[in-house]
Amino acid sequence: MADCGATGSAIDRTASRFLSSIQSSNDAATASTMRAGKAISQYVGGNMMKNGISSSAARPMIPMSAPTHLGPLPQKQNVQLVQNNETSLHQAWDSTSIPQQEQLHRVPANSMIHNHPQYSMHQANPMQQMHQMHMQMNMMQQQQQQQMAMMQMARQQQMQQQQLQLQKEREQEKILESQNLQQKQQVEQTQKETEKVGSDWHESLEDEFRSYLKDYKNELEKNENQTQNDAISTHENDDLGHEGFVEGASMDQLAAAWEEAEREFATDDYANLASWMYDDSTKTTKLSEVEIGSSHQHYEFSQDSRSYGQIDSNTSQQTGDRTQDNFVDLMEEGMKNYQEGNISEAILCFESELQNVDGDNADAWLMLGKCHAENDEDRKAIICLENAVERDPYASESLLTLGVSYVNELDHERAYKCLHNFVTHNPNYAGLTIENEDVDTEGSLFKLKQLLHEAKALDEANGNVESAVDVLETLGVVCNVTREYEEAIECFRTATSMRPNDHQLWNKLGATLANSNRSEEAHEAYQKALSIKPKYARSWLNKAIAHSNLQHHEEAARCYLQTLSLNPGAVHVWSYLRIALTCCERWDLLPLVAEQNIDVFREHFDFVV
Amino acid sequence: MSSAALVFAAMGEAVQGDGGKALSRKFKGIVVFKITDTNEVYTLDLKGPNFSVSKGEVDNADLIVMVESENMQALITGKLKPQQAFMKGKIKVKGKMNLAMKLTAVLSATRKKLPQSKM
Repeated sequence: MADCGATGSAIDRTASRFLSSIQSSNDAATASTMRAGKAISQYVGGNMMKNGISSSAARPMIPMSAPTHLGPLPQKQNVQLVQNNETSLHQAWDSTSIPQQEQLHRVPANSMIHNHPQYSMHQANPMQQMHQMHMQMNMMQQQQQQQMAMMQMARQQQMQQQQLQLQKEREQEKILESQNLQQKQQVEQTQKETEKVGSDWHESLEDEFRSYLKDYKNELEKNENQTQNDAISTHENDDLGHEGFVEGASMDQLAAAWEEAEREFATDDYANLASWMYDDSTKTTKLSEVEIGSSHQHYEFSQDSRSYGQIDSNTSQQTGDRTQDNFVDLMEEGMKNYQEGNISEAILCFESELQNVDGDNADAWLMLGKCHAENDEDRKAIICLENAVERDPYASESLLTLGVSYVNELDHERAYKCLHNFVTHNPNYAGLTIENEDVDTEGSLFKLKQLLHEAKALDEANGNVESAVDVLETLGVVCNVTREYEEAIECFRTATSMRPNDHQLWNKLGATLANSNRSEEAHEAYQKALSIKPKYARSWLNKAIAHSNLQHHEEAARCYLQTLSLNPGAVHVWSYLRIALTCCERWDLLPLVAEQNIDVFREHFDFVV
Repeated sequence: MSSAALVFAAMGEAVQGDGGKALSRKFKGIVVFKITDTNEVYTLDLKGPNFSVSKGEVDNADLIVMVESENMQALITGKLKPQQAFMKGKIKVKGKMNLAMKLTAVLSATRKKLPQSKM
């Protein structure tokens, strides 16, 4: 009895050991599959994999089902044996630790041994014993056979599984290799591109991107060294409806696309000016390439000025002569109109002067430029002032006014050149110059500031108050460019205290305050400017913008209309008016804007002629 | 009323006329902007026969952008670059990523239309 029990439990033991070895070898497969899954997911892109592979895929591909068909056994035994095996199998599947094996050693309660007749019987009939022993032997044999068969089946199945696994592994290896190559190529490409574009990029951003690239490359290398396995990678197409951030494999796509976008749509506003100044729209970044008073666009004289101010006289009709005598003193007329704020008339005077009397009158070009600037037409002003500088390169006022217009148009290179020449072309500042001029604008502007301080000191030493104020004005303008608004405000405050009736100085002070988000104070400055010169269109426009910054869009609309009444041709102001009306939600008035008829608005807004 | 209203009014100007046509060649789609801190929603339509910017949401958006009004302001003025904003999570996008890349174009065009104080 004891023998049988021992043999029985020995067989049980072997069987269970084999089963658990199968299970643990599958364990290895399970573990390696999970590792592979993780590796692949890192490789292809973290978040993406969440949608692709779930943790359930970490299970082995071919589920190992419990052997159902066993050898020829009596039904009862069959069932019991199956039950035994199933329980032990299930236990094997669900368990990973060794102690379970011990469990299996314990003979299950419904084991045959307990139900064996001899176990419960105590009779010792020799014949019966013999017979029973025979029976037992048979049963044991059969059991053995069964278990052998089972083991064989299990072995066969495992072999099959292994083969399939191997096949899959080989396939994946190939796929991963090719993916590896692709990504290596892509990384190389991006590297090249970043190097190319390097200089155009914002510095800190370039560093950020490089570190991202490094991390990504490290991940790539890590994954190369891991053994490949049988997780099938799902590769989502980045373009289609992907939510949230796209990391990992698409980083280089991201980078390439951002690059392209940045290049096409330069966030620099310099490109603006370059494109309308030159036909080929090449961006001038080199300070050394920038010249003042040379190439410029042709100025379009208005029709009305063709023969403006012509004196009707018999002599002129006879001779057809168009000399200075046949015209009123256009310069004088023009100056008068300018001072009174009749800018439109002033423009006609100066244009007529240039067309009919003297096309090379540098003063006329200067005055014309000033008129346009006061009307908030910087582009026209620039053309006129370039003409003025071309004819008289040493006129301080032309250089300063031109510099201011370039600043307004965000052309910092040309602005620097003008303001630099303003100092160096002035005989009062003979000898002052910038040593070792920088290639980049930033550094040059800093040095220009120093230069201006020196000039100011010179003026103060020599008691030249007027030119000292000019220097202060220039310094304030330069500080606007370098965004040192506090210093700029200081300069303009001092300047206005020394020259309180200069409407342009007050306007510059206001603009500086507005640019530094002090729109309330800006209003005060504009008020001062407008009290000196009520028809100062530029200040009305700035006032409108200050209102807009404070979310007073109705007031802004009113001021825009005021500007337009003074300069109806200002196309950009009509656009600003539309913006203000949209913000007030007065969409009913938008169609009126299209007509560009000022008078229609009078019933809606209260503004002066 | 927030600063966003001004930005989107300017955007509306940017998509009109020749500027709008040029922009639509680079950027074709419908974008819904959700200003998260003021609960405003604007729709930019650079797809349909008429280009426009309007208040409210549409169903057939190609791209949804969620951003705070402060960051929208910074994006427009250029203090914040779209790449930085994207990587730092200051703007969140849903939908066609390739459109999201080209937002720079829209922002640049809008900036040019915003009024600026002149000295």
